[in-house]
Amino acid sequence: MDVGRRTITHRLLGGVAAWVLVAVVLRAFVVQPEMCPVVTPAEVTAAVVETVGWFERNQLDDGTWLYRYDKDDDVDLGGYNLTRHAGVTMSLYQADAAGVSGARSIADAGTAFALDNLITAGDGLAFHRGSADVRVGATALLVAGLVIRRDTTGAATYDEEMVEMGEFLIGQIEANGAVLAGWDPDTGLPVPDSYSKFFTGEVFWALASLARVEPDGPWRDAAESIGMYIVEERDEAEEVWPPLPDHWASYAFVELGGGDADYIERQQALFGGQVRYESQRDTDWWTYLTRGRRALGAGVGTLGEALGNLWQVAPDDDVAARGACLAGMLVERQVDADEALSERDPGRTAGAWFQFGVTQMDDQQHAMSALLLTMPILESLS
Amino acid sequence: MSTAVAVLALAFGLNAFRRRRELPGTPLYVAVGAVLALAGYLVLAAVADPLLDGLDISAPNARIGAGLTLGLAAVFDLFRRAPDPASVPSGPLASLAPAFFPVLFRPDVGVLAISAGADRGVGAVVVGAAIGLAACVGWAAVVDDEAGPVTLRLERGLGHLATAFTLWLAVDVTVDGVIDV
Repeated sequence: MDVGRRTITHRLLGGVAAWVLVAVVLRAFVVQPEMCPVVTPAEVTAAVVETVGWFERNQLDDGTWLYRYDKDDDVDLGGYNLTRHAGVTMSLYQADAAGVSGARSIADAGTAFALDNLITAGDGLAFHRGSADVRVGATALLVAGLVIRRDTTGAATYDEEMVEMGEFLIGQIEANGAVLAGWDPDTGLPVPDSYSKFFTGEVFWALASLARVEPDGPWRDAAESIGMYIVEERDEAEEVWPPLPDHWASYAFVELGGGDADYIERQQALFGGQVRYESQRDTDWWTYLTRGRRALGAGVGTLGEALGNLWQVAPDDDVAARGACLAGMLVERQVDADEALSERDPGRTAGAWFQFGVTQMDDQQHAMSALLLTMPILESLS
Repeated sequence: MSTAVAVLALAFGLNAFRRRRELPGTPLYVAVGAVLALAGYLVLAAVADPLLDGLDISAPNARIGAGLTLGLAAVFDLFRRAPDPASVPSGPLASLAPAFFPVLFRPDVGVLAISAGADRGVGAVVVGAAIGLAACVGWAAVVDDEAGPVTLRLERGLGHLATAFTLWLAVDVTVDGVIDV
């Protein structure tokens, strides 16, 4: 009898231990809480206004911006990148389109810098400075930004430049729709076998946008050939694995009014999964150990850009939930004006996103674009 | 996860062929334990949504947790020796322990019931768990330790097959969680 009782007790304790062990291990390692602060469209708008303020305060006389900044040491870390310059300019035009006061004049100063640095390349013009190979991304994002400006203002001010830049971009497309990332000023030809994870989607978007400016031009066909390549060939041809989550391509799919449904669904999953993972990252040592450091503002921002766009193309409750989660994370992680008061240079800190005390201007660019693009999701949920 | 995968994973996760040696020899006690376990899984499935919301866990992440737990339990099952039948308690209370708890109401299937409940609703969980538990009761009714060596060898083989299939389902559930939005 005692033996029987001991056996039962032993098995019961073993069963309880199994349940507790599973619960603790799962919570500690696998299903950590996904932290998705709830934010309102008004809070998102305020965050965007803060970001525009950062760009305004940190724009230099020539139209460029403070590129990389360490808030703890209050040091300008220098460097610059033309593709990111064009990206910031584009993002500010998005803010202008959303009605954020002052965004356009800041963007226009960025555009002036870019237009001062247009060179003849291929059959058109490219945004480039220096002696290295021309990189197509800067030109593509400049075009995309100027099309947004044109949509907002109705002014055809830069149509000529846009078309000439489009001509350059078309010259970079290979027969199968692949986009060559570089153009060599010495040979006057595209750089063979030069591919970029991001430029392909950027050129895709630029040309899809141009199709609205000049509907009878070659832009839509060119964009669709890139789109076909992205959907059917790119990952294999460019040896990308796992499949590339392409937030730039998501912009183009919006311009084209949709795309391959399976590809869109896979992209939604790629971005949604990253949001789930990122939302588990906190600043405490355990999540740092088990989930890694929080992503850059730019990295988190690209997730929101993609989800905002992909939600427009193929609305879905789960995509909306991830988009809303991401907007909440961005708002929470932004240094607001009050928090910045305790920093050494509040003007360079307020409105920005930092990782280990450092911010780069594209952190603000992608985060702001993400906030703007997830706004319709939040409005639909509220 | 699809309804079919949810049902199959619940049914095979219970693995009647492996469980039989851990259960009391009286089929009635096993049946009572099975009914209680079914009620337990039903409750877990019914509270899945508020539970996951309260813990800030999305359905896809819950699926990853369920798949991993089910897979680890299956691997554990593959290498674990079944207990000596002589050590399994008998008597009416055996329907509670060990039949209901811990043999039939198990954490791997419990986590799966939560995930499947969030994904597919209570119905899928009830169907899957009912099939698995009915199989446990049925197999315990037709096979006992007095069965011949061929039957016991067949039981062992079927147990391994069911475990392998469960492992495959666990991978499917996990991957489904990873690649979902």
